Amino acid sequence: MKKDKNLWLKYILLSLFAVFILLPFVWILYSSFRSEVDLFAGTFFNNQKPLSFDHYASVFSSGQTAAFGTYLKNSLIIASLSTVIVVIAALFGAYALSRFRMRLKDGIIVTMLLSNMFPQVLIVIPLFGILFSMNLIDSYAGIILTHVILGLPFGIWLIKGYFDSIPQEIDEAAMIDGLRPFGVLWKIIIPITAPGIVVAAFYAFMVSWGDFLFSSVISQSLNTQTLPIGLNKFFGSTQIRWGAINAATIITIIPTIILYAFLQKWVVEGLTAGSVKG
Amino acid sequence: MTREKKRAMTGYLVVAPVLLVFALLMFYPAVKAFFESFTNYSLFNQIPIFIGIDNYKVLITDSYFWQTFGRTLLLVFFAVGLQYLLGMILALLLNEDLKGMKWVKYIIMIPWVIPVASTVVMFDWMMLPKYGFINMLLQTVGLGHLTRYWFGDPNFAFALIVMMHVWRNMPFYTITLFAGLKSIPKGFYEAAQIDGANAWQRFFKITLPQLKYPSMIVVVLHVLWTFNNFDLIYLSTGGGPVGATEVLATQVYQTAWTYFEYSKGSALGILMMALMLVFSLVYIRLVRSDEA
Repeated sequence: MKKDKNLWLKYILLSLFAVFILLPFVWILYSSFRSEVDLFAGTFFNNQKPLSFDHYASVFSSGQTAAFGTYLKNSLIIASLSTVIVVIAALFGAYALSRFRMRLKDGIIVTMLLSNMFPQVLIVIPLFGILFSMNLIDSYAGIILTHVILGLPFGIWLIKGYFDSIPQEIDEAAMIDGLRPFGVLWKIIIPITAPGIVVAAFYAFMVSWGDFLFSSVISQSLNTQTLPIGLNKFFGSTQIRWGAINAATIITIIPTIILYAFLQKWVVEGLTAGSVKG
Repeated sequence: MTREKKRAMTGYLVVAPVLLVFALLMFYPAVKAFFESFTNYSLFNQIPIFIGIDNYKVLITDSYFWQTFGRTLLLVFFAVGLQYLLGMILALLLNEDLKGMKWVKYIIMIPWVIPVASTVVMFDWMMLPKYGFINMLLQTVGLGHLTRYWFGDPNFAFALIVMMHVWRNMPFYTITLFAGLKSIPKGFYEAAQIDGANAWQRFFKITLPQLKYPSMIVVVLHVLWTFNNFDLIYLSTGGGPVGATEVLATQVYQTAWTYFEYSKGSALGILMMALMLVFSLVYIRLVRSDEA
């Protein structure tokens, strides 16, 4: 075999990439189980105290990090609702843009893609005033609206691509069988394009879960502050409790990683669908 | 009304709510920011007065702005350049179908799916002055004199920011380019091999040209993302130490939300937008030509 000559080199390169990608995760995960004493003893493996879930417990108990449970709750509510709204809006938007003949169709698609490229730091300045006049500052609704805007253009574009791949003849056949247009959407198109819809949902969740900028401007109190804001607050406090922060970080990243783990194949497929010329 | 027109009407009605939300929360703010950038609107001047292009004048005569601008372009150049190079190498490796490759494909996107705020904590924890992983490692291997607070050192903070950008987004390049590699017909390589082309020639004459379209998409997308990105820098260094990592996005945020000079922040943001509009148009042309 000619290929085997460079095999070891390929494995070394690959290991370097794996270490680069995984090291920050492994280190913080390991650290989240080590006692505060061991974290600051300057050793890698010689632990004076056994590994434990103490930091995880402390994150949800009293003290500096007492608000963590609230951040988690806010994040879960905001990200789930944003996701549901994005998916519903994207389904209808994509259906209209894929199946109805409209003169402004191209314009609508272009402006939506364009809008995702405005600097968010710019949009957020007047947005604060607009949401203020709508009485939406420091409310779930205000934050959810901005997160929907972040996830929707990609969602519509992605789902439209999946819809377009279903021949119109299938719609027509179903309509002859007596289905109305939205019956076709619900009973035929959605089941076939489920993988694409799931990816749009995952993207919407990820964007909402990770957003710092919009939440930081719209949230004014613990009532609406999300995990990224919370992490930043722990981080900025005068006495940083690293053990607790490490545990809080792990809890913050776990939901997206679990979702990704389940949807991995579809996510990779969906994300690359638009960039490879068919 | 004809049937055809009726169907179009239904179509518009279905997208109308989506468009309305967009108009209200995306385009109206953009337009509002544009007009406010010609006023003196701030927390202290709640009733804005038209002052023409004064905000822009102040900006372009300010050396801090030009430093920030230059640094932003450098960041985009280094981050996107390294992402592309490393993303390509990893994509080519993935394409080799080595043992254990499934596993790599599985973990590769994880940095991309987690919140930026947690990425920042992870890297800060690794880079801690005395007890961070990197400094402990340097101590252990006898390079103790190299240890430092990496994020607090003006010479290294910028490089670290570039590294975090690479860490987060490189996987996206890899999966995009990998999908591109999969779609290149195997016959191309067989023919080249018969003609006696070596590996480098095959890469530059076949692989790279065939990946032209996905490459452009992924590069333009990330030029935009990196140029506009705010949270990675704001959360890790806040633009410091002593402005060593300040970029346009963080400067806009500080101007508007630390100094409450809304119109000045808007003017700066409008300049950013004008620059990126050129890139956006290129991007959309690419996407459109794909659909045609």
